[in-house]
Amino acid sequence: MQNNKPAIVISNLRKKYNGNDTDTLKGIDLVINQGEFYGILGPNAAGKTTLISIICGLLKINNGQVLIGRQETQETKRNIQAVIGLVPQEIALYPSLTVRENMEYFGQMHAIYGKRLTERIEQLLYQLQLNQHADKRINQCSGGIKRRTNLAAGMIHQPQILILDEPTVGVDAQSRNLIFEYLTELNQEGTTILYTTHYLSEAEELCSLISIIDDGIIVENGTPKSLIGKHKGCNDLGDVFLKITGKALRE
Amino acid sequence: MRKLWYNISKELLILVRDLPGLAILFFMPLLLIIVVTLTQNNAFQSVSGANINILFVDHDKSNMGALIKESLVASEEINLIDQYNNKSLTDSLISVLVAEGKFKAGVIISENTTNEAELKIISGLRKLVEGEEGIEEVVNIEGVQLLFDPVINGVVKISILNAVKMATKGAESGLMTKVLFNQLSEVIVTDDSVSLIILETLQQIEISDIPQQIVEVNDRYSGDSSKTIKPSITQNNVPAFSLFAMFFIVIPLAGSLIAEKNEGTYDRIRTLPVSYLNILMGKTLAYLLVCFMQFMLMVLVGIFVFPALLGLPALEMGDQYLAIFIATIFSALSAIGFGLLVGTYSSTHNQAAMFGAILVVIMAALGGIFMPVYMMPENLKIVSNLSPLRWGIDTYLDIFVRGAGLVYIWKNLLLLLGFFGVSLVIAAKRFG
Ligand SMILES: Nc1ncnc2c1ncn2[C@@H]1O[C@H](COP(=O)(O)OP(=O)(O)OP(=O)(O)O)[C@@H](O)[C@H]1O
Ligand SMILES: [Mg+2]
Repeated sequence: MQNNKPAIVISNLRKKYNGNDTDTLKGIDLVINQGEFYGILGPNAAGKTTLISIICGLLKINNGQVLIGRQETQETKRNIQAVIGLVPQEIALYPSLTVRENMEYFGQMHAIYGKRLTERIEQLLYQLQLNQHADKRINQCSGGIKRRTNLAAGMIHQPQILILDEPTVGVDAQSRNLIFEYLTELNQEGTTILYTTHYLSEAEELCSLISIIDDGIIVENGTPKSLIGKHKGCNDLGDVFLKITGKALRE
Repeated sequence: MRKLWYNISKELLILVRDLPGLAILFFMPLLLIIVVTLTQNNAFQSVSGANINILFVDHDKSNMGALIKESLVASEEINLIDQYNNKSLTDSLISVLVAEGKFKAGVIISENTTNEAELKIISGLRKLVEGEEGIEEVVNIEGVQLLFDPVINGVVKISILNAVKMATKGAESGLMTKVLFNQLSEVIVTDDSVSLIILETLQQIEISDIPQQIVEVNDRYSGDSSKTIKPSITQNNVPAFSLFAMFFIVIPLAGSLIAEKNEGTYDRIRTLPVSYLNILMGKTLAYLLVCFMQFMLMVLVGIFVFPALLGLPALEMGDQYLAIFIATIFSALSAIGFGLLVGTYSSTHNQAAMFGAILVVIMAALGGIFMPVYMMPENLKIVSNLSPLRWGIDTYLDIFVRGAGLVYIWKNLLLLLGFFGVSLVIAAKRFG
């Protein structure tokens, strides 16, 4: 479903947190086309969450430019809110509300009400197999259910671009496969997906393009295959990663 | 608007889900007013070192007036004031100033007090010396009138009353000595030393035999007697402590802001097409409902539980319902504003709970909930003007004890609302 219209364009992005000595992002250039399933692969503290927060307009930048479609994220936050769906790394839900109530609330905030909302929630509950748990409070749910609800809440409004920050942390193989299948299907239907992870296998399995980010810099770009092919002697992405960054990625 | 409605529902749902928390929110304040009122009702601590301004006007312009004044001036607890804005005092001005609480009490020495007291003494004396009925009793001595602010702490009231009674008694003794001396000198004009001896003898008798009280001290609350509210400990405590309790909303409210920050829902909210102001207003209105219900519960306890179960005077609502309603809403808003500020600037629940709770107690103390503002040192009085609880308590006392309406309380209402407005803007800016 890829085409060559850019969905996200980032150029020379620099970000330094107040109080830190060095830049967390040290000049990122990145183009993500519409319909892409784009992976950002990097170890802890590489700057993945920082990058995503900036794309979503949650953080101010020090230098550079971030465009969603043709919109400047830093200026026209309102316009991009409808286009983007964020699935944060943390479980960003109200613990004392149920799975359904959380979905309802975030839907309402996207101005989806009434029957449309009910139908959309039923659809998501079904697709993410949350039916049985719909009326359980989040603080009584298992980690896997929380993760899936977290995912559902981020895409209740059917965003054109879905941004996921390590959405499979702490879920079992079954839940993970369910999420993968769902995301793949979504991508085939045209949703652009930006996916960060430090699991190599996930990136390899899911993504059409990968950027490896380390210490605030993108050190390598390409399809999984091309990356392995480019680095002679490497059998998988783990080897590639080790070769480029000198660090082994945890799997 | 629709989003606002859903924001309110979300907050209410979250509140209702935490039933123990909600129960604490409603029942701890009740415990507070009950215990405080019961203990204060029986406590008669001495008020030492306090310096209370009291208005004083002397229409007598003779011995009694002068003697009472002298004795009150000598009293450490009392400052006599005989001018207001460079104008000398009249009875009606005193009545108004005291009724409005600008002064806690006023003393009016009626005209002819000395003359009539003298007549009374002479008549008593005749009775004593000549054993006959003497001249008919002098009636209609207005004597010393003592006016009190309806909003006066019971202990303070008693100490002022005692001071004035003592001063009056002292003045009577002095006057009596003089009258006796004059009477005697009419009889025995010749020898001073003889008359002195007789005088001393007579004075021994006087203490026990002459009518105990010659000049009456009449005390009453200043104000419009047609208004039915009777000052009482309940009337003072229920509104004041309701407000105090209302401000404890800071803990759950700040908690809900902090929870959103820490649980990551805040970041998610920021990616939603809804303004942060909308979210904050949702919280405001949900907690406003809580505050209002809390207040209603306190009022009901004051009306029904106090007299029925605790032997305390019942709360009287008066007729200023609109003023009560608006004052409650505005006070609750300022409490909520405070909660938004604490929630915005704290990063953990513990910080917010400690900081919020202690600050509420400090603001309440400054507001005069534990010790009346007029008894505070001057510097503290000035600082107390900055406490939203002071504005709220003053407003409530004006309504519940003085029977004041909106016309009288609008200034404090504006301060309360202004505080909320500023807090809301700060919270929205800081987050948004
Ligand atoms: N609010 C902040 N203030 C200061 N420094 C921060 C802040 N948030 C993140 N950092 C720092 O920026 C760096 C990148 O953090 P970031 O969360 O973007 O990494 P990440 O790639 O998402 O890591 P992980 O895989 O652990 O989620 C880290 O060194 C982190 O300490
Ligand atoms: Mg991260």
